[in-house]
Amino acid sequence: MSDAQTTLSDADIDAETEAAQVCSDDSLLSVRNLQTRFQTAGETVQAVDGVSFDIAEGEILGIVGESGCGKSVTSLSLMDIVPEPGEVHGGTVRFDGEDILTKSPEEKRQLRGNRVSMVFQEPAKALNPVFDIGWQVGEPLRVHENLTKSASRAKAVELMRRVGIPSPEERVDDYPHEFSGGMRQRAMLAMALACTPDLLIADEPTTALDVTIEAQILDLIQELNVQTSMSVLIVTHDLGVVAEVCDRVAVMYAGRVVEYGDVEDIFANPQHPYTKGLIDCVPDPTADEQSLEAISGTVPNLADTPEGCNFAPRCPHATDECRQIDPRMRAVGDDHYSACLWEDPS
Amino acid sequence: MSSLLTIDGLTKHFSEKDSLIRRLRPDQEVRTVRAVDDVSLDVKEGETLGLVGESGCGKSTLARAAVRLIEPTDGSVYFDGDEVTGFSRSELREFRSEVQVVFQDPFASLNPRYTVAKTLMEPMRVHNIGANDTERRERAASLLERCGLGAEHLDRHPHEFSGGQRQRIAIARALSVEPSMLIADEPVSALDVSVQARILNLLDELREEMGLSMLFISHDMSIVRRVCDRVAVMYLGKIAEVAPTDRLFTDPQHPYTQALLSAIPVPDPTVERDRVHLEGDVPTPIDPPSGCRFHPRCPKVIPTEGWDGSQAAWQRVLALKRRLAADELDAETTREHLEDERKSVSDDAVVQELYDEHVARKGVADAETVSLPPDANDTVKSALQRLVAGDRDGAVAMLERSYTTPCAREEPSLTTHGAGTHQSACHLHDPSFVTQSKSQNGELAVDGIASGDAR
Amino acid sequence: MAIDTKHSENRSVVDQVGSRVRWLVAVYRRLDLSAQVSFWIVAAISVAAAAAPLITPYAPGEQLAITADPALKLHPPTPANPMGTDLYGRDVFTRLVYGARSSLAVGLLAVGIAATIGITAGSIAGYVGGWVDESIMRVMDILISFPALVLAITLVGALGSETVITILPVLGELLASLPVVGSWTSNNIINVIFVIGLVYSPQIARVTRGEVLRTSEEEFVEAAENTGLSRVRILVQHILPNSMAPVLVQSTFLVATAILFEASLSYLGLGVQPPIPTWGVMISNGQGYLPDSWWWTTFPGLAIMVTVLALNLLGDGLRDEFDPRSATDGGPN
Repeated sequence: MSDAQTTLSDADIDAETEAAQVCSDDSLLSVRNLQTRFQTAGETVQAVDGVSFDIAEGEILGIVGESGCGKSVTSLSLMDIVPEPGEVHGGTVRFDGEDILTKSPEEKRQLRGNRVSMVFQEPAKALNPVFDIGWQVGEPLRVHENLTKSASRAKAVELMRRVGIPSPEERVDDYPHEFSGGMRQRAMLAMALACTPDLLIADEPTTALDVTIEAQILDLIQELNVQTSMSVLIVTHDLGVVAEVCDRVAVMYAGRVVEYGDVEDIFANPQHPYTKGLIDCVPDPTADEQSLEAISGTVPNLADTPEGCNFAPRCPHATDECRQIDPRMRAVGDDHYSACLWEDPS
Repeated sequence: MSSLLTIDGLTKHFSEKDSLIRRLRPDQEVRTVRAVDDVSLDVKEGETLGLVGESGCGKSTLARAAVRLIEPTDGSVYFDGDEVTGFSRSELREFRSEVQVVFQDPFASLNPRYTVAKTLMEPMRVHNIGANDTERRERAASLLERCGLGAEHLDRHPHEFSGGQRQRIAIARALSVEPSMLIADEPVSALDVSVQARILNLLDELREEMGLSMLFISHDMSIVRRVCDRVAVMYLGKIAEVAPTDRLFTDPQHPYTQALLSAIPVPDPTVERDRVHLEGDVPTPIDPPSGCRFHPRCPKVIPTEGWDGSQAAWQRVLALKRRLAADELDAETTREHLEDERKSVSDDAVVQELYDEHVARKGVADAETVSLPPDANDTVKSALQRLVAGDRDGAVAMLERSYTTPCAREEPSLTTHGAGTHQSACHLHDPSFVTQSKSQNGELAVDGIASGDAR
Repeated sequence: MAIDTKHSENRSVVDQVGSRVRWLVAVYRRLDLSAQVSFWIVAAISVAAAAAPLITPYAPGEQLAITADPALKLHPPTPANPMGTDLYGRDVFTRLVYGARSSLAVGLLAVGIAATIGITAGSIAGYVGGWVDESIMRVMDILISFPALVLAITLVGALGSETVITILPVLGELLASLPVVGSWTSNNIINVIFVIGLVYSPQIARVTRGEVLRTSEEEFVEAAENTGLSRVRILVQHILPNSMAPVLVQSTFLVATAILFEASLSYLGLGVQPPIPTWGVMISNGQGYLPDSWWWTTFPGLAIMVTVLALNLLGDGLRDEFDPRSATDGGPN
């Protein structure tokens, strides 16, 4: 343990204060103290435990973390479409100045697939096998812009061309099973782009794909981001994807954001021991001979999180204070926030 | 170092939807999936050989055929000098205690109804290791401890463990018969990164401690770089390149390896990489492309004689030809599409539309602008005119006559680079092929070689 | 290794029994309400059938009109005869309880036979594959393509007064050693059991084959091959135990179907012969007297309905529980 100069009273802040520090009012999407839980017989799993972040216009934000850290649930919570028995029970999600969570179901539906679109991990499951691709890509247009069947199909061809599906005039009549994995994901992107959304939420969009196809899809997302200044939220477990495409990143652990800010800064200068551990255990394909530093232990049970810092039981630098005080993020640099009690925990 | 496992010309073909009745029907053809096609490789004693490739490239099939978990169609495998492919049932059982497989999915590779003890003791019983069950149980306990779990876990069932712990059990099972070689089939791809690192470290330690040889199969180049001494890259059932790990990563020779390396997302945001963009999807091994199997996607595919346009333009022409041949272009649909927008549509307008769509690729978000040399432009347009006139075969033949890559004509053989441990299967490196196409193509093939060597 | 192996092995046997009981209790707890209620109904009927002599003071063939009161012919329900009496003065309740014995025995034994044939055939077909699979399953297809009732009538007719036991003495000895059933060996009921078992074996065979095919694809089977285990052992120790849940569910449904089937055969007079009481025979005998003596047919009818319904609801519940798409683990073995 280094000689930490931190005054602990500074660090002892709550989720609201964290939100106030992290969020600004003029971003496209501003998530404050978001809380989502799953209530099952006898257990309450706090999947998202006071998460705050911002996405500015034209920005690509990555949410990264291991399975079970709450990153996917966070992305579903933004649109309030968490599956049963999950429920968003706290916080605000301000999109373009208005809180999505307090909107009526009808208003939320108006937003989905229109100003905010989503792309999921398994394009095979997200596409309906009994409708042709053209029908599905054109669906948001019929729903949100009242286009006719033929007009939506014509637009679908345009969209499919845009995302690089070859011969869209023919393929518009194909069914999902006739598409390869990469093409399905392109079709999903075409569908997501239909109503020129302001925000695209992509939940592990390339996890099911091969690397060369993954590269194509990531290029496409970046290209679309530049061309349409659409903001993008990418949820991923892959730090490589984050480094590749994101401007900013939120690292999640056990339902919390533990580190948040500019991608380059966080990779060059990670402040939270978990982020450090995560970066250390990913092999770098460009580096020779490396021994991986593994994080010991396992992720805590979200129904019964430890006293103090959630990461303390696995943290190589944990102190007694860490096991008592539940830390929240505070600024550790310019656009760089970390939820560690200590300024330099190494 | 002598070679422990030698794979010689191994081939595995699957018949799709094969049945007696289907064979008797002339209208139904049994399609052959050429999962592994004439592959030769060897794993030396004490070495870790990596086998990488994208899904469907045949890497898992190769490994399974090599240890006869599936029967190879052709070729032979030798283990320590003995021919595995000629083993009888009892010899094969003996062999199972020499080579063990660690499978990809620790949630599927353990029998859910077996306790950990039963899982670990069963292989020992098969191979008569340990005098009695008491002794075997003790051995199981110590194996479990060696793999990072404890004797207290012996009576539990797999569902009580996390993915990483299950993979530890699977590794302990593989080690229970004291093998001299491990085949690890994507052993960490189902696990979280922090768990991955620990399993990889465990494998590393065990390998060193027990002097194991290892065939390590993975789709993840980063992991392969960390784990392996040598790496073989597979594409559509063939070996594209094999080299010592550092050579492969610093000086890849095959265009596919180069593309694969450039496609990996690097966990360092400051690295701006020059990505080799691969067109299209991985084709299926059912009807693999002729000649070099990579040529339809290859960014360095050798142009035809007298081509004076750019490489990108050459690829556009090839792609157009391929789509035309696959009947993916439909002039009528395009015409109808245009008729929706304007009143009368001339044939030329349809040709222009098809040209914009497939050659110029207008309106595609991530396509770069490419211009064809004038003569190619003319040929392509007249081929499209034929298509619009209803003569698709004529259009294909026209392009086929003028624009065929030498890569599609014959299969490349392995050429050796440098000290002899680095081999790749690309026409660009075949001296006879290069002289031949050099005389045909002048500068271009040499360019290809040069850029290949520059890396 | 400081581990007390002996001790833990002893404990492991106790643990195994204990864990199986715990698993059954856990399965029961996860069932929905209708399946739980059905479970108790089936249990109650089974207990009543087993303890028949303790429940009713009469014997099933006892003609009360002769032994007690001549007025007890076709007598409506009274406190002493809660379901009335039939034409011969026999207590309907008594015959119903003893009838439950034969109905349940027919259901369980027939399904036992169907399962024996079906699981063997299905698992060999699924695991060996190729022409063995094709031949076995074609035979099963032929069996299933006959209307079940017609096939059963033909077979029962063909056997005539001979029982299966004269053809298969080994099975006869096996059956003779069972309680209750042991005394039936010369009755036609044995033929009925075998025929129903045979008729329904393809259904079990199909489910088994499908499950074996699915389980064979599992990685742990490949892992077992990789250890050098013989094919028979892989089938018996790895594949079958992990394929049985859907077979169990299917069997539950089949018990209900077999009970109905036996009733139909007996109703047609081709099933169980007197003096063994069964619900089908009771309905068959009483149907001519339905307008006046409704109790003679209504109670056995209700008994069939309740039993079949309960078994089906229980099967539904078990299927939801064991559905391979939702289940993560089949529990300890």
